Amino acid sequence: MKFETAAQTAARLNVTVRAVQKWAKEGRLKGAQKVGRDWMIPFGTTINKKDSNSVQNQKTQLDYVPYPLFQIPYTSGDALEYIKNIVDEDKRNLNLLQMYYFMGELDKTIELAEPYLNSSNINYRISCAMFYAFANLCGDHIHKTRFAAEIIYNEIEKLDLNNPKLAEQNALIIFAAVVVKTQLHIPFNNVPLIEGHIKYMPEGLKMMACYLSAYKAYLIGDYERSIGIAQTAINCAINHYPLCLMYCYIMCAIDYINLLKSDMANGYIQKAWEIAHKHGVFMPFVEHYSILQGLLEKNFKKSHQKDYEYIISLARKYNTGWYTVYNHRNKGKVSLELTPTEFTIAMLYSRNWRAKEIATQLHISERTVSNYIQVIYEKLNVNSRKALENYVLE
Amino acid sequence: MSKTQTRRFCLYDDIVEVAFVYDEEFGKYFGEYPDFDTSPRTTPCGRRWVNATKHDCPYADQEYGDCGSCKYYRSENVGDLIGVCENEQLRKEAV
Repeated sequence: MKFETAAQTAARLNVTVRAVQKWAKEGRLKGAQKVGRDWMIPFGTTINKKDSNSVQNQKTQLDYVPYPLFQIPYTSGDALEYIKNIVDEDKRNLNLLQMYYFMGELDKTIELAEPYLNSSNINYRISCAMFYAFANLCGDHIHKTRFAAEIIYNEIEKLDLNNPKLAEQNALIIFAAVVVKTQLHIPFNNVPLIEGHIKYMPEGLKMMACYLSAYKAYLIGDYERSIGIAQTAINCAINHYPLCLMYCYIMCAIDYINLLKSDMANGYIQKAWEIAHKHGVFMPFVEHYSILQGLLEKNFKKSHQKDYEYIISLARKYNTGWYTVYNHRNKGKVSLELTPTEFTIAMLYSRNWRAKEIATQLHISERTVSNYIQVIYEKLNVNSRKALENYVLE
Repeated sequence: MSKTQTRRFCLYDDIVEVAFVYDEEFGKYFGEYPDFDTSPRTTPCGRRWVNATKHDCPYADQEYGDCGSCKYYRSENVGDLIGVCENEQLRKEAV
């Protein structure tokens, strides 16, 4: 058998010598033997293409950016397996904690993120702080959520926006700050508008940034514009970024349901569900549950009962935490005391849906809706839609 | 502790009795209110009893559309889920 050195293999495969040495050490190069300090590799040996790509992905993307899962174009449902095979421990942890977060395994997210909150690597620090903040929201550790948000905010205060060499790094920090500010409604000051920094972000993150921009449009009731932004992001993506797509689909579904276009909303929520189901990532539904306005109930409550109940159990905790961070005077009472159906009806009714429209959306009678509203009023001690709106949305 | 209590709602010389049943799980009494849409009731002077949750009344506040938010809604106590409509037009229609 003919052998070649690691350097020769590297030149043949067009990769670095270090990569070849690593693969040989991991047993990925069949028949490779260590001789002294070098490796003897059977001539013509190739590495499994999937493994090779994985390593290249790590080199080109993960070395540089935080929030890696937003930027990896997974094509199959084996993301967790892929992540567990990442050799570098820090990169693996960074991916893993993000994956655990989206799977709803929040204790694991917190455990993995905590050591990185003081990391000297700014990308690790802000990435972990972001997921640490959200994971703690469900665990009733609001002080930890605030603490993590402060870590991100401290970086915002140090931003040097006049230095073009820092444009890409700044964009990543601004992304984290806007996520926390937009989703948690923490009143950060001096957070630059994300729109001016999207161009400096990698492709997957650009899509997420567009989702944030769409979410902002949604918050001021400009649903058509929100759809336009999210749909453009979907159309412009060259690669398939499952998580980012899911967020954009959910955004479109929420916008369409607010425009009372149920069919469109149902179509988009189905697309989002396909991704969630395939990759086991239900957290984006949890984050948006309070504004999904019965879409999950209508589409998945019966057909995917187990997944639906899992989402609901997390959503109740998430909403309670959200209300607390938001310093809402009712501190989560809305999500704690109401059943999921009551909660959905309360959200719809407080957003000026008519009982008839709610009945159609949820496939129940108008009379049943009225009964639900009565129970909601009694539980929350309100007696009008106006009071309910103040209670739920103020 | 009694599991059912009765509460009387008195407005315009009319009394409506509502049973309140104790919900063990929630630790609170919930009223079994009459549905004045299906069983209309008026006071002796012709004012309609309404549920605060009633909506789509042509005289209601257009922004919210329910009786509870309407300026014509009058209840015995703040927060009651049944009351009387003080809209004169509606009273004339009822009479």
